[in-house]
Amino acid sequence: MPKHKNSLPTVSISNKKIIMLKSLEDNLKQFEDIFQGDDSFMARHFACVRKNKSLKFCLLYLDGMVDAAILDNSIIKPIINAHLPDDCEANADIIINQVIFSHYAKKSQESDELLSAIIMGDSVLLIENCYDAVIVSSKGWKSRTPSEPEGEKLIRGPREGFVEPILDNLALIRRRLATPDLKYKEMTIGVETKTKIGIVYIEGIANKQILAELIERINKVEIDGMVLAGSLAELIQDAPYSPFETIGFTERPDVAVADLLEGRIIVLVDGTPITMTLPYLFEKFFQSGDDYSLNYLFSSFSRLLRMISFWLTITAPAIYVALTTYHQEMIPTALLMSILAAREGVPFPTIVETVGLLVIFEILREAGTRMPISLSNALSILGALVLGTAAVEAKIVSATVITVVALTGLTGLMTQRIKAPIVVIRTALTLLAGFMGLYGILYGIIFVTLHMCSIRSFGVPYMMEFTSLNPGDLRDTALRAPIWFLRHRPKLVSSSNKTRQANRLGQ
Amino acid sequence: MQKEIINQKQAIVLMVTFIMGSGTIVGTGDKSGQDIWIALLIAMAGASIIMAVYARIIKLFPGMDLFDLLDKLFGRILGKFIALIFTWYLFHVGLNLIRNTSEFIRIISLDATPQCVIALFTGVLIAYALRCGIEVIGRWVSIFFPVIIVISITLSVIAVDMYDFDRLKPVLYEGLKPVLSDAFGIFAHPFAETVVFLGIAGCFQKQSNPHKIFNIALLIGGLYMLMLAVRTIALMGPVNKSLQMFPPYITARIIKIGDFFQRIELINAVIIVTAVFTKVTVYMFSFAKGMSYLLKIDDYRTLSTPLVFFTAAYSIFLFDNALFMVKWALNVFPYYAIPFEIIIPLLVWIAAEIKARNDKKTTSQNQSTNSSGSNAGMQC
Amino acid sequence: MVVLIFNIANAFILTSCWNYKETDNLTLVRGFSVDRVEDGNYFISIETADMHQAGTEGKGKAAIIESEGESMFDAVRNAVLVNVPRLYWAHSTAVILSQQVAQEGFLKVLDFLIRDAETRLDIHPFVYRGEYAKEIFNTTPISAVMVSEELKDMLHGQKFTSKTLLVQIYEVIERLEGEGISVVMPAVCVTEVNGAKTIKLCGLAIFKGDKLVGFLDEDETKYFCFATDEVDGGLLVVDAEHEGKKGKITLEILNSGTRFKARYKDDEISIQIRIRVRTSMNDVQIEEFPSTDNAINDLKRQANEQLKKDIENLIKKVQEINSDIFGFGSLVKKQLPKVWKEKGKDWDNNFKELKVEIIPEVEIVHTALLKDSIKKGD
Repeated sequence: MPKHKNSLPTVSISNKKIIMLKSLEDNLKQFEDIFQGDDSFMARHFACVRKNKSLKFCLLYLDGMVDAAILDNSIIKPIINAHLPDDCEANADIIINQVIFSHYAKKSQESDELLSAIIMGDSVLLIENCYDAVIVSSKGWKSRTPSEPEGEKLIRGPREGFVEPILDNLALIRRRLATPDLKYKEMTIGVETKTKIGIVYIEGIANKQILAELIERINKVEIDGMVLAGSLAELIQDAPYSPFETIGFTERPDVAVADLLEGRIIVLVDGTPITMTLPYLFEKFFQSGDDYSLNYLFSSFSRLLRMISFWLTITAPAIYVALTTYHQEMIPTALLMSILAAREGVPFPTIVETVGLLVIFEILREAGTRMPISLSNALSILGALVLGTAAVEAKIVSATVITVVALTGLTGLMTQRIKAPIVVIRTALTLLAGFMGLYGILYGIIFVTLHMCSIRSFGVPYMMEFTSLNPGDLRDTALRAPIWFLRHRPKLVSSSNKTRQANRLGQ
Repeated sequence: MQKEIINQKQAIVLMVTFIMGSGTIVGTGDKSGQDIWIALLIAMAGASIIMAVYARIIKLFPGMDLFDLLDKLFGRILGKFIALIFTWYLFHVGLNLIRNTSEFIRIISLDATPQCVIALFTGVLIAYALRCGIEVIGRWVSIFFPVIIVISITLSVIAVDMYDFDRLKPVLYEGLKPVLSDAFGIFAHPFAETVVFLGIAGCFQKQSNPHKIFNIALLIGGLYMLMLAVRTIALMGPVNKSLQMFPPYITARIIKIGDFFQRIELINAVIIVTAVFTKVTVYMFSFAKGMSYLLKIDDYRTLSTPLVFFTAAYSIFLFDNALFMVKWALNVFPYYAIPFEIIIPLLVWIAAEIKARNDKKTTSQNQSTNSSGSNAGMQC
Repeated sequence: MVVLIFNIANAFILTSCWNYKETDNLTLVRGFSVDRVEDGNYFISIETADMHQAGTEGKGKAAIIESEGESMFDAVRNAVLVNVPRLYWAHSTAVILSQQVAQEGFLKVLDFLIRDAETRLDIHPFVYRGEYAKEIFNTTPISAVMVSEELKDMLHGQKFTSKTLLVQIYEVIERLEGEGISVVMPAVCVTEVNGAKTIKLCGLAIFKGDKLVGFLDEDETKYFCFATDEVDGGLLVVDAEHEGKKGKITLEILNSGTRFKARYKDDEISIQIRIRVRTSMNDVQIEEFPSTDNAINDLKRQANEQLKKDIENLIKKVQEINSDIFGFGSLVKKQLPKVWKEKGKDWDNNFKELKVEIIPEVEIVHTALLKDSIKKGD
């Protein structure tokens, strides 16, 4: 278990607490004190019409967070029209049971519960002469409709992606998994943000030890706020210092469902369309949802391509440096002569040239990532013309290095999801190559692979499928065997229930 | 700390890579010339006997490594003494291997780089590997092993039209004596060196069959060396083989595919460095275990890093030059290794048989608690 | 921490790139020749690819560097005096020895080549049949840019002629150290084509030990190839006779296989060479040569006789030179190890008296595109 460093020992929402009193005015004053300075805090006073006109009510909510129609039709209108007895204890119950038209209403005196209800868009009903307040569900903020995620497009896949509200996401999953075994466990994280975290798993398939471990790790997190799934992942994942991610992310409900069926656990984070999937093993980087809907030969080919791309993108510049500065004998004579000719007149040493261009490429990529589309034309002109053609013609860099960096960049784009380790390893290997030639690269690769073998994702070895020496385990890693061969769930990831297909009649 | 476990397949692969280790650097003996394959076969036959002894020791006391066993069999003082001798052997050979690697890299391409730098890098790598533990090495070697095999076989296959098997003739021209001498060398050099695995036998999965591990490893490793030796001779003839400092490496120098792929010996270097790295790591792992036993330290990892760096630093002063290093490896080592590879294991084996028999008589329940199913599953 | 790591990395990478050699500083050596000059020094001329004048198309011009030294290595290092960047030997393809150097023993020259990790083991050695080997680089290659490349290409083209032998340096070592086999190297000389001097491969140089003892011309080389199973192609010109008409018939060799058998009988070693040549009849200079079975069989017989006679002559010549370039000795060693133990010590004398029986079996598989000879209608 890695130690997670959390900056704040104990964080509390506020020192002020609400102590529910009998008087409505007193209670309201406490709420107003707490929300002082927040103009969206609303208190609507009203009273019952028919009987007990002295019985006053006050509805507290945050403007913009609530659906006004719910407040009007389900709370205020029925209460005003209601016939109510005097007894206040009974009042809260009667209001919940007989008056309010809402799927969720609950009486409470708990300060934190009441406050967070208001904050989350529910409304709180204060009643005169009553110690209890009633929380009524009235969430009504705006959210977007599910649309295909830009970052994870599939050719033959649904055009639906996760959205921000956690329950909508749960609905997107549940719609695809009609089983009561699908469990949803809600937790909150963040003392200030009170972000809802949803742990989704299929009972009987998901590994209980992993689930327990996950819950324990989430419980350990103490932080003021949690806005992004990525930061939660960093807090709870294994090998936190490693560039390799041991928790996966997806924006696609179909991918999440496939993961659930493999026995993985999905963690939804409220307010972000990115969900986490775990345990996440190395081969997952090379898998795409499309692999399972396209022809198995083609999918296997694409996976091999992705893996080759991964190795190319981390080693190509390093190998170039090693070959041209240490092992010129390995370059075919004709090629060496063109490299020599291309380098003629270039002032920088090869290693500086290569590392420099790699940095420039990363700058171009970074600039393009968060750039409005209108500017991308200018970017490509800069990149292609100025850096490519002009630099070569001005003899600032040699054409071969440009080719190598272009190859690196291209293969890097193909393996976008492993970006972080790729950049780190590539740079390290290139420097090692400049220092010890191919032996440097070899030592570097041995180090990296040792590291990859040593990390685990929630107890499951990261490289499990590649290191089992069982050719059968490669059927859904390096290759994608026809669906009817994929009869078992991954070992260790899932629990006792391992069989996915009953028989092979399906073929 | 949960116990580290490597499963049977990983153990086999680890041992095969171990056997490949130095056979690929200095090659096999040079006295028998073209008869080296006979020497190899004889050595394999001999090794299968002594390996059966090693396997039997592991089988008798599964889940225990040599040092625990010494304590149990010979008592504290004698056990410690034998462990001390054995640990010395581990240290000394580990030292040699680190030197071999750095010398190899230095001669074949980094001739201007100070040896200490190469030794330092090798040391860092080994220290990291030991920190990760044997389980990780078991997994790691399962990735690299297929790569090594594929590269070697590819190299052998693409050179197929350059082979001249006539070079293997005449058979036994100089008689059996040089062949036997080489066979002894090969027996001692990679094969019987698997005695080191006694030191890490505690990590073998308890269900695994040590006899199977040793036999399959011997078979694959032996076949691999056979392929390498025959390839070297069929390509270059016995004369070139005995002339070169690192013959298996040099063969790749003349293998070429068309005009484009030539001078591919560096690809061979990948195999060599990986295999030797594995070998050194196993040695150093065993060494660290031995030292932690001698110094009564629970976790060998606390010791591993300083030990590795000490060894790497010391390796620089081991020999004056590479010529002596190769001579030592081929000529002196086999005799030097006899007590460690044959005598100590035999002693341990006899003592173990007696002990096991006594144990069976006295308490039959002991074993049932001892061999409770190991848990290869989750560890967090 | 980060600063520390960064500094350590810097110290390694920036200060001490021990073996880091930038390509700019390299001068590619493509081939070199070795001469002996009067005062006993070695004189080498090195053909390098001059990339400084190359355009972006990457074709270098040949540049010759000459230097002199007491030993080969000394001479090579002295070359740096005239050429600032480092000479890079890993891409050299040919080494040309002058006759004098070869006569004095090539080992002194080649030891450097084999020992050095940079040079190739598949470099091709040549012996220059002329006075100074450096002359070879004054010629103009016809198809390649550099003489060394041209030499290598010509050597690899041997399968169309079988008039020379592809030899690599590691094979030289093997032959030199092996028992009962002597070294051969291709010979090269200078001729004129269209008024320009150019190189030509002209047979083989025969060594005894590491000293040059004689040459074979091109045709003899072909028969040498037959006798050592090195024929991959080439032509067999038969002085044929058909019904009194004489003329030349050329057979193209499709493939050829030679099998050797060493025999020991009555204290005498004899070697039987069985050569099977599959050919096609490609050029008929006899008028109205019919494609009948009889005529073809007759032709086969004549070809066999001629081949047998030529090879026998060659072996006789080589036996006089007394250098076992055929490797008959090693053949005996492989096939009759016991006999070799006895006779091998005095192989020089035994080789001279060695009986070699040659059994050629020329087959004519087809007659190219014509079924019959072209007849002149009157």
